[in-house]
Amino acid sequence: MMTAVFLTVAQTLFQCVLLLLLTSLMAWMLEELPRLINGEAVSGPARQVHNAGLFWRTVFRQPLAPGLALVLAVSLLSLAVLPAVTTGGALISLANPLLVGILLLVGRLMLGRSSLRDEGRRVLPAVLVLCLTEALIALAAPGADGLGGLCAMLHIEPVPGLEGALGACALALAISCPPLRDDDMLLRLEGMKDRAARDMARQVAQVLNCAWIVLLADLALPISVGLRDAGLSGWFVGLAALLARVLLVVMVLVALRLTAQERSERLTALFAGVALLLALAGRFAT
Amino acid sequence: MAGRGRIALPAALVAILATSGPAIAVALGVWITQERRACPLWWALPALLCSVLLPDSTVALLALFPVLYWPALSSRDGALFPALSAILAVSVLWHAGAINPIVCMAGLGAMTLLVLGRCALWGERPGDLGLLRPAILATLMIAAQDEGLTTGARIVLEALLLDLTLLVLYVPVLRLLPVLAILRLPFPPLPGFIVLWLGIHAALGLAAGVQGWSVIGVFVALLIGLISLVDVLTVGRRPDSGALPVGPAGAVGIIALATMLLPLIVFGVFSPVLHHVGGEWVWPFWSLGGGDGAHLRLPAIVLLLVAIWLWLVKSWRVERGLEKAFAGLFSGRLQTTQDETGLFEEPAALPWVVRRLIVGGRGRFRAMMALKVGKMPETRRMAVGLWLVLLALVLAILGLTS
Repeated sequence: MMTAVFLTVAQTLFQCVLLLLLTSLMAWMLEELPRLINGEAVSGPARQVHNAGLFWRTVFRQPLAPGLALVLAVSLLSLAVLPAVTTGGALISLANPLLVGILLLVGRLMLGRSSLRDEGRRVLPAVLVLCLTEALIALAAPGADGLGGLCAMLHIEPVPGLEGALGACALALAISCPPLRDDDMLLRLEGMKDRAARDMARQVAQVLNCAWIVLLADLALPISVGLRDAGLSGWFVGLAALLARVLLVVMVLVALRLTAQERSERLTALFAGVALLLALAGRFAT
Repeated sequence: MAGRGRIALPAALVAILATSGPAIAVALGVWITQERRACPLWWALPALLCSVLLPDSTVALLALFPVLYWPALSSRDGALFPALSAILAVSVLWHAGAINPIVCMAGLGAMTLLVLGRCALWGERPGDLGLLRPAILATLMIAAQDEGLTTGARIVLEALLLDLTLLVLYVPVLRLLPVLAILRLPFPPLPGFIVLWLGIHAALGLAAGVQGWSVIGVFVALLIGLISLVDVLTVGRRPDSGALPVGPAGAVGIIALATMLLPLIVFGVFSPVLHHVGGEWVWPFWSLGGGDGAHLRLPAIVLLLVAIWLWLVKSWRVERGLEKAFAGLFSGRLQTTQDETGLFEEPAALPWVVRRLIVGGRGRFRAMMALKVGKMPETRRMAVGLWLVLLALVLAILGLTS
């Protein structure tokens, strides 16, 4: 009993640390991959890793500004709650896609001084797509409790329509609300004079991006999350699957950016409609 | 005193309306004469007559809804008693005999979209569309009861009661403590999110359980989400809202307290009603059930969030650190809700693509009227639009055949 509780808590902690380590790598990929594909010379991720190290040292030693702390708390909570390696985390029962998604979007709105007019046009469609996602999960997999329950259910009884629908939903979310980039942050941090505070806000934005990407990855490929009682080999398969699906989502995001397809309301609506169609077709096929 | 009266009056009305049908008719009449801008008589009179003469007809009931919601949705500065229209709509639905829930839901959805479309095209601020949500939830409850899904009916009733409470509290709260108006927003720890979540799960519970509701259930869920989004744009923007009597730290504390206590109190007070409809005694607080196996554990999320936030802020380092942290949490945000009004009061401009389409369409229409050979519009831009139309067609066919 004690061992089981210890294992779940240890896994949650490990998942947090692993995803936080991946954060600076993800930031590097989002920033430099388009340039690398363009044929420019880019530096390695050493600078991002160094900055992240400085950031976490500050977080451990000094108090943060309350608003920024709330955004970081939301991102950390999402990283701890979402199913990553296996569904055996301690907080897996809290991983409701609508709840986590809206929390992350609110964190996005609260970061810096965002212009509500621009940001609202991205966040509001994303909230609607999140509602649709929750609705499709409830429609096609009744009885699934959040993302963890969904993964377990898909392992027992695959629902192809739902999987396709969730992939389309994740794509719609990625189109309407791509991760925050440097130019977004420049706009948001306009009035902030303090350089240290600006750097902190940038790092928090990276953690927020990481949490958003993990949410998208979990929505896109819930089948690749391992099960709680899969054993040691299953755990390592889950780890590899986590890395693979996060990499896939990052590549898709980079491709969307390179082809200038992101932030298009009509494409968001199209993929949301495709998701609805797939889920309904899957439901009527059975 | 006025604030207390505003709470007591709807409460007494609910008690009477829930028990007697004729009381609703009297209340309707009194309410129409007292309201700031009543529905035009040429619509109101036939609608009222029809609803009295044909109590079992769904269409007559639907004709009553514009009368009920006219003051709240049409006038610029909102109705005098906004919560009353929602309460009256719910009680009318409650007492209606055999209505067809699908037709009723379609009517409500069409009304919502009509109001929204008018506001978008004419560049007006939408009225308080959140008032329509209780009627939608009441329709869902009737559908669930018709199909014998008692758990589903209980879930909808939970959402309905919480939503009605928020609406009734909204006006006095704006006068006394304007900050608390954000309790209606659909952001996670706030009660507005509970309404959204329960509504979506109840609609989809119906869709999973009943044959004809698959497509309609998803659309009802999207409708509830859409209304919640409009809430984000309109809540807290009533002209007669007063100033903040407590400091920013107190405001954050009050919001946190109200967020935790309001669902607890509402579900506790109304648990006899929930028992009457749902058949079992429940007091959902720690874990809210969605009726389909999903559970919402908001208190756990809030506790974790607060713990992480406290660790990050390290409020114990400085004297009265917690108070300072509370005060800095929304610094310049709670106050600027008034400034942000300007953002959404501007007429919503249509994007250039749509304007070009409208102008081009007008020109083509004129050319067609004069029987000239019109030029084909540029069709390449419409690729995505074409796919959307095809998708809508397939969805409609699926929905009709299911």
